[in-house]
Amino acid sequence: MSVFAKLNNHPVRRNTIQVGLFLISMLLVPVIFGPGYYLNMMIFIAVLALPALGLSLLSGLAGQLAISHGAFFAIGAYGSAILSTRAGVNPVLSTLLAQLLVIAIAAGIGAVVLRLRSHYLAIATLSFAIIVELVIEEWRGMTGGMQGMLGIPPIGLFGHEASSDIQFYYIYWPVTALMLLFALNLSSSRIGRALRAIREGEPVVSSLGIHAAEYKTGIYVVSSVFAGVGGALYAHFVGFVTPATGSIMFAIEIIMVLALGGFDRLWGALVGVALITLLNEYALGFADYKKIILGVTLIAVMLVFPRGLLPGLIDLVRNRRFARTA
Amino acid sequence: MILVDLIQIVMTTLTVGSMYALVAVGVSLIYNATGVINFAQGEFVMLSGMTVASLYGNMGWPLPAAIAVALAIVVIYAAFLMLITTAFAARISLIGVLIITIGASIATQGTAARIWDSDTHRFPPFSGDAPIRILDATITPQALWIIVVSTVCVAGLIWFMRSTIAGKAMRACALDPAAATMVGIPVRSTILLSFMLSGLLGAAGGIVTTPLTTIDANGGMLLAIKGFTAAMLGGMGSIPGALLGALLIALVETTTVTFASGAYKELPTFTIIILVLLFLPRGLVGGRHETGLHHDDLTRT
Repeated sequence: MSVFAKLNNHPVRRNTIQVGLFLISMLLVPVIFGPGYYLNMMIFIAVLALPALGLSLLSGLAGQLAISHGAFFAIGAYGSAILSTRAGVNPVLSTLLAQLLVIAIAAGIGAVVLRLRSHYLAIATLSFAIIVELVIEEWRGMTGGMQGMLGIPPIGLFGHEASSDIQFYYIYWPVTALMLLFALNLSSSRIGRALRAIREGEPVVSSLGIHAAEYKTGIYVVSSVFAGVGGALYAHFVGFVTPATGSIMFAIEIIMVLALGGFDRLWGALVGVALITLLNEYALGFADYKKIILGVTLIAVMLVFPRGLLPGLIDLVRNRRFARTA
Repeated sequence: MILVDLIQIVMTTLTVGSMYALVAVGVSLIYNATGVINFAQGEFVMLSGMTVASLYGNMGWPLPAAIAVALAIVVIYAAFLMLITTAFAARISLIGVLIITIGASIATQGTAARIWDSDTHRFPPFSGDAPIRILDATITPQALWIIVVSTVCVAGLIWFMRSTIAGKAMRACALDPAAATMVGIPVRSTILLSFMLSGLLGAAGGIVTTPLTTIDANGGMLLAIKGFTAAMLGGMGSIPGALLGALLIALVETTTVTFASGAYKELPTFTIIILVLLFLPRGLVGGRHETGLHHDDLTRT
């Protein structure tokens, strides 16, 4: 057996090696290519990868599609922003503290809505997202209303605030890589298998003594925390938050990311984020065109490649190769 | 609470509720036919409102002509929606169809914003602005139009479903598509009809409501969600239920605006969704019993 085949017997080891290699290459990129505008984009990719990974966990393991990720991104962003601007908390600490809020809310929501089937879950999470948007817009004292909040302190380590793109890059990518590793390991673990089993047939799983509801709520909380951390990191990078941060359009873009990268592939989510970020930069123009392109692409991709663009293309390539040898 | 306030609340509830009813009944109609919740439902309203606003309000077309064009546009759009949501139906999961309707909704919003613009639009009310006084409470004539048109449409739909062959075919398809096919009912055409009727309802809503509440390219999504809430409250798939749900939602909204702040008026509605899903999954009147192709139940087990 080759080294690679043997590695598949030890998923954690395999995941660690894969993520490690990936992180090393990412860390070498600025060294090789030098500073430049692209660094800015790469940081956004690192940040946006987090809610995408979160949703990928939810949809891949639990088979559920939620539209609440934007809302948790916003909660993480605003939570950390408020703590660090109004209470003077260190950004790293405020990021973590904000996740307490995310966990509390996600646990509450999750316990309620996760027993619902696909489209009812979508409606429930969409409603939740609207409530969050509303609260953000109306609670002007706390959140700055439609104007949002400015002057959010940048993230910093050991007393130094990050002040250049390169510094942010070298802080954020390891964080994203770590969370990616966590997600991959979760997926290959007993918990991941239990969740997939729940997706396929909940009654059977329950009869085996697994509390399906707890698992589902748990993964929902985990995926929401991913979004929340992403939001907080975003806030401390960009320096401001508005009601548009983590809006419903944002949540739909994350769905788009999964539609491109595959609904049940974590690495695919990364690819999807990269694609969407590139598209945002170069092809999407302003809000209205973006909506049209986003909507049409979603429709087209779902019609042709129901499992996602990337898995569909991979299948296509695999089948062609198979046909040629036959 | 003074009598005047009470009457005002009732009037407003009826008006707003009629609007929501048209959307909610449309949602239930499509859900009945295909088991799909149409996220693009609100765009029916938006498209018709914007069309009449620009043709009649801006370009001076006669009102009937503008209305006819608006209805035609929405019906064609509804047919197009039907095609994309039911194509390859076997391959696509329910989530996939969901995403398709979401995509359709935002694509439509963007297109509308490009064709027209993102501002709010309206056009003059049908019978003028002069408020009518009922026992010291006032109501504008347009509100009466809304209530009347809604009632006619919903009643017409119910009559259609009960008394015509085509309507009965729709109910048959909803109950059991396989059996319907065996009896010779063309299921795909019937589903197409459901979509088009649903579109007509939404379009009618847009046409009568825009003079009162204005419309903008992005207004469809919020309306759609209220429609879902109303339909779920009454029992997803039940048309009388959708009507009831719409009135209840309107009542909650109106009382919130009257007694609390107008800014938070959406809050109770969305809390209701979550409460309904939690405690009343079948809705008040009880939804349709799913058989055949779409055998999802509301909850998993």
